Amino acid sequence: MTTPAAHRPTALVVDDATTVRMYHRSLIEAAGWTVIEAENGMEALERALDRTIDLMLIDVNMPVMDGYRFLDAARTMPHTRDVPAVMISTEAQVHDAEQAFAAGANHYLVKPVKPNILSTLLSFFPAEERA
Amino acid sequence: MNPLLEQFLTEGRSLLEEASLALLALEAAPADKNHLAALFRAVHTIKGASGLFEIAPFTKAVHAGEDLLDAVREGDVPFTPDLADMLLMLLDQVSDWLDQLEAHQELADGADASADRLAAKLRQPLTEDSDTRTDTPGGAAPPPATGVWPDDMATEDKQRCAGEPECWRIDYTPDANAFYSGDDPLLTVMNTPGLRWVGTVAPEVWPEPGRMDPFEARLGFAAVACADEVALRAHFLYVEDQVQLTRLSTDATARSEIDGDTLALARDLIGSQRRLLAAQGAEQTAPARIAVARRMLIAIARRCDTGALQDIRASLTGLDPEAPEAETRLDGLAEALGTQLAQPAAPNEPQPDLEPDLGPVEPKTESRKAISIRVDADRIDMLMNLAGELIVAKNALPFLARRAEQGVPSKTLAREIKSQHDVINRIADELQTAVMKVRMVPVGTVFGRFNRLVRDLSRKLDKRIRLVVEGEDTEADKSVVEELADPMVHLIRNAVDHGLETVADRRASGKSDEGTIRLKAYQQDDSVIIEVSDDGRGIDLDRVRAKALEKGLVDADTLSAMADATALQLVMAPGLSTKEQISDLSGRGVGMDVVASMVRRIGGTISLNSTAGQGTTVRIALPLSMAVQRLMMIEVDGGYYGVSVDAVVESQRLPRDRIHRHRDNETVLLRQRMIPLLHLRDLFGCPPDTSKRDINLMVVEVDGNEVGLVVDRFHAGVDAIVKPMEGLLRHSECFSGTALLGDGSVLLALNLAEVIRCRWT
Repeated sequence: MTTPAAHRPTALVVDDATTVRMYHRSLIEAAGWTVIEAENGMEALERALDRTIDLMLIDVNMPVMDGYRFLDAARTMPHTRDVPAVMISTEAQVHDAEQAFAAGANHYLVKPVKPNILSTLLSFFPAEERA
Repeated sequence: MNPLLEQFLTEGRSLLEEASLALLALEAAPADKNHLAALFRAVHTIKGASGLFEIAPFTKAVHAGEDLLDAVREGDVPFTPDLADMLLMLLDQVSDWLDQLEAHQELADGADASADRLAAKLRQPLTEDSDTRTDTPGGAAPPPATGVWPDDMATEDKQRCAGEPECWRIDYTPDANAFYSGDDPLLTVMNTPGLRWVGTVAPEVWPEPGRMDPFEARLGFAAVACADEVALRAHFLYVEDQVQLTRLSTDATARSEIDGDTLALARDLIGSQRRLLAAQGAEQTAPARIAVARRMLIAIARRCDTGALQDIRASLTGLDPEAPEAETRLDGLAEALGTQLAQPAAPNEPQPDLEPDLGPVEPKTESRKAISIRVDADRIDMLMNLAGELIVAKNALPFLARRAEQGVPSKTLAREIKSQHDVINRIADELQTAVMKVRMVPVGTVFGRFNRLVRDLSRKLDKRIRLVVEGEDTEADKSVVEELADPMVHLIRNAVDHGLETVADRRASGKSDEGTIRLKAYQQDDSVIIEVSDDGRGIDLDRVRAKALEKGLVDADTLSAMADATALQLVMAPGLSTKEQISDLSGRGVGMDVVASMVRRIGGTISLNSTAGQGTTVRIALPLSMAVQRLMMIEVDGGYYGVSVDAVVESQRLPRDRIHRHRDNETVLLRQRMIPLLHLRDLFGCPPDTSKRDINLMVVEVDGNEVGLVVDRFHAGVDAIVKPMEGLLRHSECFSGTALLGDGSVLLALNLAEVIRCRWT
């Protein structure tokens, strides 16, 4: 099934590592999604301003504005407050996960995200959901 | 394992081999009826044999292939490259299945689905060519889905139809006289293509018990199958008046297609939402967290709905996130959702291609290796004879013992023991040779699979290639032959991808359109020589030099002094690739360096020859056998090491002042040759020994280069069985393995190529 470009779901990928962004982009685009990238939380907030986002993948450790602070801010802004967000980090410690949920993350994954997990995750947000 | 199955596996593999050879031959000469007949026969035999086991998907797929070939034989369907692709796909699948049968005595889950897909694909040309030719693509749209799912079909069964392009309900009411007209209604319905579910339908009115004819067919069937209409109609062709097809809509089930992955993630996500709801976050983001958790839960419920989640979905949608107790209620709903999803087992197992690492534990390459070998009866006879001789020779020993007891003078006794030793020694030698011969297999067993490789590559790259194989009967030790496969695949890929030009380029340089790759095997002394040559563009030596310099593999001085032939060997240095564009085939990191190290690991040597514009030849020399090696023992700082005698050129004692020093490099001039020195004490991290005036030098030749190893002492040569290092030591590449000496001590065998690489790179 081909989805017309205008109705493609959109993911916001926030990570300071270009490689990680490329990796996520390739996986997400393969599922027929559009991808917006941001290098840090600050940039992500700007990028999210004029678009409707369906899912956010957020790295924890980033310069300028880290993932927790970005998500905390995003949850107060009207167009991102109820956008599902997944925190992705290299540390598997429990306290990281708790901090992520406190900031309003819907899920917490450890890098590197397996391709099948990501594609399964995307399948939870079918294209027709978009109003 | 069941001996019958074992036989089937052996036979199946050899038939597969035959089938693929015939198929490739047929592709080269599509008009040749003999190849077609051979192919048909092989596929037919596999199908027939498979019927002995409970592997219905296997039989089904092969049967479809047989039908297709039959149609080709009858001239109903033309033989095209696409058709060959399809058949090769079938052969690949069958080969996988045979592996699965060998490993687990049954087919893996999902075999059913792949068999259906494959069978449908194979039958497509058949149906296209039958009476429905008018059914042009895009012409007749499939009829609307008006069917009603059978009442007694379980939800899980319906889910198995999810995502299928076409799904049909089949109502089959066999004629009452079906059994007399040669129909087998049950068999017919069970063999329905893409069958997902079958139920029986009892007649509305049963006849009076006294008047019932037990030989009348009374029961009807309601079945659901995911296949296209044409295939279904073809299947029920003989009973079409008794069958009614109605199309079913899979939309309702499409979204609820839940595989193991989805279910697992859904459960994780539900847990996460509950943690999100429970998390102590900032006050002002609390409503947002509830709202997004609700949104997420709705998405999960919708994705996983199999019909049982409707209530929860309604409650979730109806929940107002701003309401006072929204958080608690949402958590309750999440819990309920989690319980629901925990109950039914996932109907579809995770697709094997999603998680390749969940497959059988043993690595695939292992299972590829032939476990049994075929041995010539003559060789077994020879072993028997030798065993007999050994028993006779053994009987002499008690006799000798008695002589010793009788007080025979020790000199006489020693002479008798020696002569008996000679006899046993001869038998032992011959036994070793005989056993080695048993292990000898023709290299052709490896060459055989390259036809297919070359064919696939040439199709992919759009180059015309002819594969010429010479000397496939040359024999080598089984382990050598098996280890040969991987490096050769790389060499052939290189030849096809980098070596051979496209048709246009070949024409431009005045060559024939068709490129040739030649595999040649022959025996030379104690080695088997394998040559892979192509008549392509050859290696651009200037670029190799430039690249080596750029990558810092050599310095400019060394490079300019380097002879062309030596510079060419740089291609095998790690990290040098001259193909700028990373190509799909051979550029993925596996370059000549990997091939070279693979060859060295099995005790071989590799060299390269290339003429610009005329082609490249890679020559691999392998030991005939990996079992017994003759090693020269050397001593360094009290430790004993072995060096393969084949590599030793000469041993010399030289006064220290003969050593020339240039920067860090030491060399000696020996018979007008400059020999670079390598102090093994340096390499092994032992303190240097400068006490003696002379050095002991062992000159060895590796890959055409001579190097002088400085050692403490020379010892005798020994015949040793070198076993590769295991466990943690496996990565110490400077040693090729260990050997046990007669006195029980352990000898480390040096991997010279690696030793030299350690020193100079």
